[in-house]
Amino acid sequence: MQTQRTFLLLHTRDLVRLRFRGACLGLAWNILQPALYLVMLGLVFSVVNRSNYADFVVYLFAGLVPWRFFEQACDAMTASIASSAVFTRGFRVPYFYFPASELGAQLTDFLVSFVTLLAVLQIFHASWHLQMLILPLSVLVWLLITAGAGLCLSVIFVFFRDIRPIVQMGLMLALFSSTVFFKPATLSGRAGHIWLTVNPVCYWAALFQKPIYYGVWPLPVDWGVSLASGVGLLVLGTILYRSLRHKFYFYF
Amino acid sequence: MTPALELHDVSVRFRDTNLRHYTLKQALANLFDRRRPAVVAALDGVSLTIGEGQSVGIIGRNGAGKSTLLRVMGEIIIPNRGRLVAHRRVVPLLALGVGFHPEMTGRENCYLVGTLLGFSPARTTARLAGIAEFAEMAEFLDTPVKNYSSGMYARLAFSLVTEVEPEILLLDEILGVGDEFFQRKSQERLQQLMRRGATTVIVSHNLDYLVAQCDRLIWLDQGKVVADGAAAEVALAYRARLGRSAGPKGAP
Repeated sequence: MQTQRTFLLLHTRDLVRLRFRGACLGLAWNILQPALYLVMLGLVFSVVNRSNYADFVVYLFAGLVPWRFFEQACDAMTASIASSAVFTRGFRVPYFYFPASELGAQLTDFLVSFVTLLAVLQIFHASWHLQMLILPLSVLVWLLITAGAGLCLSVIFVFFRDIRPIVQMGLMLALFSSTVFFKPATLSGRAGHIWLTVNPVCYWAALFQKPIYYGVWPLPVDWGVSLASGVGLLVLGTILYRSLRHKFYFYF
Repeated sequence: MTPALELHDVSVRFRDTNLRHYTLKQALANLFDRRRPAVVAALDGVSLTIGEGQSVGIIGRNGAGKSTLLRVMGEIIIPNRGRLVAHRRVVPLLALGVGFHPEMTGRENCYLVGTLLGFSPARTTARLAGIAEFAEMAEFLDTPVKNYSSGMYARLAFSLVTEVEPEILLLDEILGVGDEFFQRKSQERLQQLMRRGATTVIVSHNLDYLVAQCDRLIWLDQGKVVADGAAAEVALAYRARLGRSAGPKGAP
């Protein structure tokens, strides 16, 4: 079992390596790519939100860095079990190692993006708040949410190979209808208020935005909804995985 | 006889591939399909014990359940019913193309697959020169596996799994790979392992080879054990059955 856990570590490392093997900028691309993406989005959406660019970039980075981790990890984890046949058809290896490896590889990107986020705060002279000390806990909660969602998707994808575009569309809708992109004030009126109250993504985003941008502690309701989402998704994923794993082999 | 591997009332069933869905679209279309998906019994209540140091051959016609049985022994397929007890470390070598990630180099694959075979990275490092030497591939170890020929692939895979000194080695129709020189070399190594007390289970259609190599044959048909005993006796009965079933059509 010890060496099987080593497989998990080596496979995660290899996934990170393979992504950047042959890329002319190598691992530097890991920093440049999210930074360029976020700067461009910041530029566009500061206009949409009629905000000051420097102010909006900090707001956007605070929500988008964890969201990109969630989105990219979900996408990578979705096909992970189905494409693990190269190993699982030949050797005894728990199927959940493959979504876990993808999660690990994406976590590496997330941590690099997180450092980029801190650099952006410095560049745009944003304030450093005491509340930012809570961020490692926020990362853990996002990790839990992502692990649960990714595990569910990886199991479902084995049986329904056409769900990927549906998932991508769903994620895009979730992103553009949440406070990750838009400041709460933009979604005004009663309907907007109700939407912000029932949309769990707003609570997830608050775990980063409140300490970084607003300089306040996330509320208990933010932690509660986010933790409940993570635990709920992980329990659902585990139930799906345990009840369907004996069928995986026949769907490769 | 000290048991190395025990199977108790093992059954493996799966849905007929023609009615199996792989997409959400197919699944929705199948809602209106009144045909009940047929369930195929790949293994049906198989119970057997393989003793330490035994060399066992598995025979049967195509679709008899031989490969499924080997994969259950390797804990690759999870049976629907029954249980497997492995008293020793099982090392499977089941098919070409399985186990090696095509984008990774031979060296990286040795480390990765080594962990699935129970080797720590340090132990793989210590044995890597021997693995490469036996496979005659020292100069290609840092080449991505996707650039290997099927012979090179087979040589490296065979060299790796036999270098880890398996206690129970499972082989599925792969001894005919590589050139004649390598075939002889691999069979010598296999005999060395048997002499050292390794338990081997071999699936092959080459009855003469199995009679020469194995002291016991298990004959499977439609997922059930038809005969299990001394290699020469089971081979004789199998040939007699084949002769009878081929008789009317094959007679001049």
